[in-house]
Amino acid sequence: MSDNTRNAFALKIAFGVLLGFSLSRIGFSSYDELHKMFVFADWRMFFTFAGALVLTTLMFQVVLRRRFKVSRPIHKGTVLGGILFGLGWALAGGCPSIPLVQLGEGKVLALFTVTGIVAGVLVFRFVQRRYLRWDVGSCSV
Amino acid sequence: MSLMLEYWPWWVGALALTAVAVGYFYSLGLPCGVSGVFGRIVDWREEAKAHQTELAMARNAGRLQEQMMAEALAALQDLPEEERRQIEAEMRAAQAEESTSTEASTVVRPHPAAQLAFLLAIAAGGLLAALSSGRWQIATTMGETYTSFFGSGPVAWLVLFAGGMCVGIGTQMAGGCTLGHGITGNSSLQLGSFTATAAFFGTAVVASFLFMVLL
Amino acid sequence: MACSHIPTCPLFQHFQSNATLRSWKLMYCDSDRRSQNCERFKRSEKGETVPPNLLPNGKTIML
Repeated sequence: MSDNTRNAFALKIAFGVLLGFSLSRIGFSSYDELHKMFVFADWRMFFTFAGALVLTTLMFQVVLRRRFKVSRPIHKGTVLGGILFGLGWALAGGCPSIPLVQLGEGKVLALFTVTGIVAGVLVFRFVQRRYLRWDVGSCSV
Repeated sequence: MSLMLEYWPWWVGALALTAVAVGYFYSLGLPCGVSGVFGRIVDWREEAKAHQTELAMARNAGRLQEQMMAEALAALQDLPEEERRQIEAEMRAAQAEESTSTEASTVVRPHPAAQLAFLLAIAAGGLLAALSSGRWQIATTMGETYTSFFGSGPVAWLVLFAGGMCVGIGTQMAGGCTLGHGITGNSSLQLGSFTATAAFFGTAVVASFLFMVLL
Repeated sequence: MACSHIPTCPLFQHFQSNATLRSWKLMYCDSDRRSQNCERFKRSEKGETVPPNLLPNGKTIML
């Protein structure tokens, strides 16, 4: 491994830990807290997300401008994919990182969730390759 | 310190997530996202090969461009006469104008092992968080709310699996998750991310209300 | 409308470097119609991992 790749490896681990730690301490890995957010009973996590979004936008658009833009055009799978993901979120708890956080916290049932995610990825790959042929927005994915 | 034991106030969480999203992109040159990582791990062998190829391409940029030029000239010869003339004219025109340099990103895609390490690190983060706030325990339940909806037996497990599948399919289809679209994509003012975020947030809200009412 | 994959295509950045390389862009990237012929685009639609050294005409760059 070159020096650069070793650095990248270490950085990914550092950020991964920070991400998992934060998600857990915010409450995103707790179904109770998530549900409270989704039915507007508790706005704390919503403001956390909104605040992060505003800050990140400021950083990307204003402070660090040139380098930091990702490209995410609308494509065929955007809406339906979003809906399915939202459903999965309400059922099982969220962004694919969440069950990983939950496993770290000791919630062993998250194993079912992770297995489901992997299964879902495989299923989509299969369907995409055989039938759908939808543009996924990049030749580098 | 209550910051250690209770859930974080919104502004602490916001700062933390921002630090991750911006710091990751700044130091690694790639947007922070988790759903893509699952996809690439599933394709381990192909991704490892692509990583090696990109590494070689980055290290031999000169030879790379030489070959690309040679192939370009060969490809031009294969074109029908009219198209070739048109393109050669456009090439001459381009030669005359100033070269607009787009920033060449020489970011090499990560080796799948690094991707896996990322996922494991996320789990480790959860572990540390739970330990440091005294909440770590082996739990066979997902909490009160969950149990009140889906029980605590095989049905609950099936729901988790099915939910996981929805997340797996949905994030691959939409090309991102809460981090990838919700934070990184939206903060780059991308229409695709706005749409995806509205879709998944809206659906999650509706579904949660339905669960509350029906279950 | 140019090819929608341009922002993330590892080859596109090289197409700006000189007039000869720019011919790739003119042949494949500049319009929707032309990008349909790009081998990279075609393979990504099929859901396959696109080798980073695959040229739009299907040839592979040897390194």
